[in-house]
Amino acid sequence: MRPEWRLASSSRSGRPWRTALLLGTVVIATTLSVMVASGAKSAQGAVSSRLSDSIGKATARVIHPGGGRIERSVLNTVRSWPGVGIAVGRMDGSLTLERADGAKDPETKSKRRVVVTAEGIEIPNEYDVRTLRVSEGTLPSGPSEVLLDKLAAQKLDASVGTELMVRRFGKPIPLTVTGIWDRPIVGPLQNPTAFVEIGVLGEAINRRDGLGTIAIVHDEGVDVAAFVEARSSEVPEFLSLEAADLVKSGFDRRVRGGDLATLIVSVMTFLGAGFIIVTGLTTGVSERQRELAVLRSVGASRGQVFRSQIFIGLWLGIIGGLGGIPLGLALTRVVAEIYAEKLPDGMLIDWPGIVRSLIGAMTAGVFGAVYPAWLASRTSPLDGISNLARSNSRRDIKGVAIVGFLLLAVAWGTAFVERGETRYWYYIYVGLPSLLLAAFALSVPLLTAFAAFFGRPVARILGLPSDVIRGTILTTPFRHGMTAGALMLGLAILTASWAVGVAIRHDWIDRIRFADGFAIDPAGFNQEDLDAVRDLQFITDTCELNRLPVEITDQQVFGIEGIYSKNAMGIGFDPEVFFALNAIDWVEGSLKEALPALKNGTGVLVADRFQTAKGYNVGDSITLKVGRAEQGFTIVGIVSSAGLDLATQLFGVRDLYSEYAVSTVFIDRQVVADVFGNKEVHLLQANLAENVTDVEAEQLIAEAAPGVVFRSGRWILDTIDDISRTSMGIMTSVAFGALILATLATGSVVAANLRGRAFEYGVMRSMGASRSAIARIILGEAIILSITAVVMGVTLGMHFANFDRMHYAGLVGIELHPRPVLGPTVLGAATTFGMCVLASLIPLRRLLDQPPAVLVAAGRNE
Amino acid sequence: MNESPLLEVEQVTKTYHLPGQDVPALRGVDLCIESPGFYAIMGPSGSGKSTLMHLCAAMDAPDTGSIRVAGTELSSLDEAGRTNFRRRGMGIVFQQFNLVPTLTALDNVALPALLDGESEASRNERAMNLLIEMGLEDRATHRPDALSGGERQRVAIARSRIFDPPVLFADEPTGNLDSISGARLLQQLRGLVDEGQTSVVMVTHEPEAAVHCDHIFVLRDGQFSEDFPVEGIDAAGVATRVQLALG
Repeated sequence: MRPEWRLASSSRSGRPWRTALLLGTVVIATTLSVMVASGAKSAQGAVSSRLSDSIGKATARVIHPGGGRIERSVLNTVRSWPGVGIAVGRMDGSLTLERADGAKDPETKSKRRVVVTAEGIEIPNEYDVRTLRVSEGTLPSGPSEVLLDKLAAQKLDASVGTELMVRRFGKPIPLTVTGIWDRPIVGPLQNPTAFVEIGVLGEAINRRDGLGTIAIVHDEGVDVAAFVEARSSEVPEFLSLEAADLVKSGFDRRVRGGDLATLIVSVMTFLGAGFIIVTGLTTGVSERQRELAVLRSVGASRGQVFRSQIFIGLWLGIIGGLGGIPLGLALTRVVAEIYAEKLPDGMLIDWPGIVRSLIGAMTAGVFGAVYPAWLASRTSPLDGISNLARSNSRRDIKGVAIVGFLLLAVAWGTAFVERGETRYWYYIYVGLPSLLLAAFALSVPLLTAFAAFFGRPVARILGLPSDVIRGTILTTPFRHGMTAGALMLGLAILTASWAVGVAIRHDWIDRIRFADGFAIDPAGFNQEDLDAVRDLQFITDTCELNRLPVEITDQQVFGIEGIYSKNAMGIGFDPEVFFALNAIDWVEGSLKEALPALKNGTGVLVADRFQTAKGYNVGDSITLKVGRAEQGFTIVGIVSSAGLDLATQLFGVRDLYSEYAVSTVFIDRQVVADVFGNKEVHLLQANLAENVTDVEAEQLIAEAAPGVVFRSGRWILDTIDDISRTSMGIMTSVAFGALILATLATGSVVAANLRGRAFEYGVMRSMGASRSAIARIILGEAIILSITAVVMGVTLGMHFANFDRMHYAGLVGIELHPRPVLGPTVLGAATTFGMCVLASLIPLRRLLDQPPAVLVAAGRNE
Repeated sequence: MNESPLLEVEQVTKTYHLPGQDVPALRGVDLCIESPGFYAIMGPSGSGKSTLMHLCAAMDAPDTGSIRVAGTELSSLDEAGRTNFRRRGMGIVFQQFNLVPTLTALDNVALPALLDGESEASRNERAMNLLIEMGLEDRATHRPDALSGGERQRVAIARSRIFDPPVLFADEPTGNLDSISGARLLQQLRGLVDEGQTSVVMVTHEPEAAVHCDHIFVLRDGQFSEDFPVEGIDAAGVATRVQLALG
């Protein structure tokens, strides 16, 4: 065994509690990292599973990228192509299903009825293309049968054999439930789903002539890519023939985005753990001055002392990492069991994530050991032996302050990097690490300043000699400073997440003026439904809109290339009607000036987020592409988006896997029909009379137009509130987790301080100082530490929030004005203080239990 | 044994720079010990005894002057050379024992050999032999906190001898021991010298300890004021001579 390993080993085993504390830190960090990685993998697995369910064996598909219909004749053409083994048509639509026996919901007393997203399939050909797993019953074998998912079955209280009816104009269509689709319930926005024979769906929604998708399974040995390239020009211009791999590209982007988020969380976690190790090992080095000096005096080289500390860090990293991995997997397993419904494939282990976690743990250990190792290697043989041992000089503190400000400058260099994607990556790889390191470095001089400033008043308030607290802290400013640093992280996360969360609400969502409500038919309204809704008495105004995902070919306007698609939400609209109904703000341009260009198909309007993100102005050109159809437009106006992007996403009116649109381009409906081949109406904006409630409106519209979903603007806001509350709840939990983690560091430092000053406390006790005086000194230290941690935490949190502000503006096009939110900040500050005091209690209790003689003897190393 | 003088100190000065004041500890000390033996350096508190010992043990560097230990010129050594000298070129024993609390007695004795990269079997064998020599074989697996003061100091002596150095520097080695333990320890040191295993240079202020030595050097205000052989003088006589030397 190398001497350094042996020294490291004896040092560890000689201080089992300290070692256990530090090990616990690494274990917790690794556990979190593994949980995040494997949790994300499991969630991705669930989505992937859904995607596979959806794609099945299909090797290619024909779609209408603009959301329009595919003529049935195209299916026959596809089937005639050599190399095509199977081709099946599919159709989407909304159906209103209700129990044929008139069963009522005991709570609402209304009929059990649900609007489902229905998928029309060719029976039984569809089953050769994909496997639909059933948890009970069988797959439909004919036109009078239906397969429900669990959510639909639950809402209808239906099981195998239950008789249902499709409500529609004309005679209801009877259906029998033959099975329950084993589909996971994956989120609040998930729609209940049903499978019926394609002809039944066409009849129910009065769309007998069109298809939504054609799925293709090629014969074995066919080169799909070559096939797609060769045949693409044979489908009508507005349609797109694409290989199945392309279908997964949206999912792959989400995976890349998820991986990046996982990486950031892991880096943050391990940085925190690394700094706690810095604190713990620095404390150990301070305590072991005499021991290290002895080692040096009997011939240990500086290198050996340095490496022995590094090996301690490495050992903590390896053992903590290896301990955290099974714990993380076990906890992920527990979570997967709890959410088994949402994770059909159960827990998936992310092996690269585990390797990354182990490497992260080892890096945190080694990184955390570098500074204490350097300190230890500086130990001279006389330190701790001679009475002339050194202490931290002001020069050291000034040095750390300079390093801290330099790192801060590097972090703020982010603001000078070109806005958007480059800035984002600079921040991730340079700015964020520099900011965290700067915060930890600056915590030392800041603590020194606070101890000098607040030490005396705090001592006076606590009835102590004026210099006692200040002196205690200034004896070991690095150790205390690093502890304040560890404490600040949780508060920083809390401050940032609330500041940004509330800013999103105030500066963006609250400013969107939603229409009173939206009637939606994802498959496109049929004329009867449109008329029925418009004819309802309480509907005062309506505006027909269609939506189509459009690719902006000029540049990546929003998000990160490779993670977000280049798509935006295209809204086909009738300008006069739309602007009469919506209170839209014109940021640039006017309706009068814009109208001719909109009508003649040369102009489009864009949402203000285009201007914020990439500086688009009136007069700039933009090229839009749907399928193979591509056309350049001039921007003739910049407007607020009326929340249409939010509305369409919240209603699930988008292809979840392949598209992700973040803002809106407004195009005249006729132009959409002519250029991009989409004549459908997907959304009907509606204003309601004042005497009707949202619930009443929803019920009445469902009665009048079965298959149409109605949601109010208020519902959208409530849903956003729910989502934002959940995400802030998660961030708040993470913040409090970080605070608890930091308690380990605080406990360690307080314990070391008490031990190091045992002699002094023993002398004070023997001279008549009460136990409470000692306790007040510790309390005073905790107050100064907390003040530093709170100031640093809030400041760092606001730095995070400001960087978020930059990224929101550059990548999403939303101008936010984050500011600290009082309640959570005060709660976080109080928790920080509480944790600090709590961490002091155990070592304090141990100290107070010792008689003065024992303390004096211990302090003399007797 | 090396044929160079055991210890040569020439015009060594050392000043400690404390906040607000400079404290001169050694003011041009000269000392030459030619032959192996057991030597004592005596003097009042603050006379520079321990400082001189730390300089001779390469634990600190003089401001000026030169020190040669068994022919090794300490000022010519770089950091690595000084580290190696501390490991193999001499042994040192402290008043406070200074054992590593987390290591057993055996590991403490073997520590310099461990740092030198010697194999575990070899170093443990040599360390165990030294413990047997010091009468501590049954205490080998105990940690320092389970040993008495005398036992700890004997472990420290064993550790200082692991590389069989030509000289042991002992800084008040009996200062923390009771009289019986102290006497036993001094007899053991005397025995080592008499057997020709090593020489000892001991800092002490106790005449009872100094009578075990061959020769005494008296240090006063950072300079040697007198030296005399111990033969035929008892503790009271030593005290008187030292008192006279200190004026």
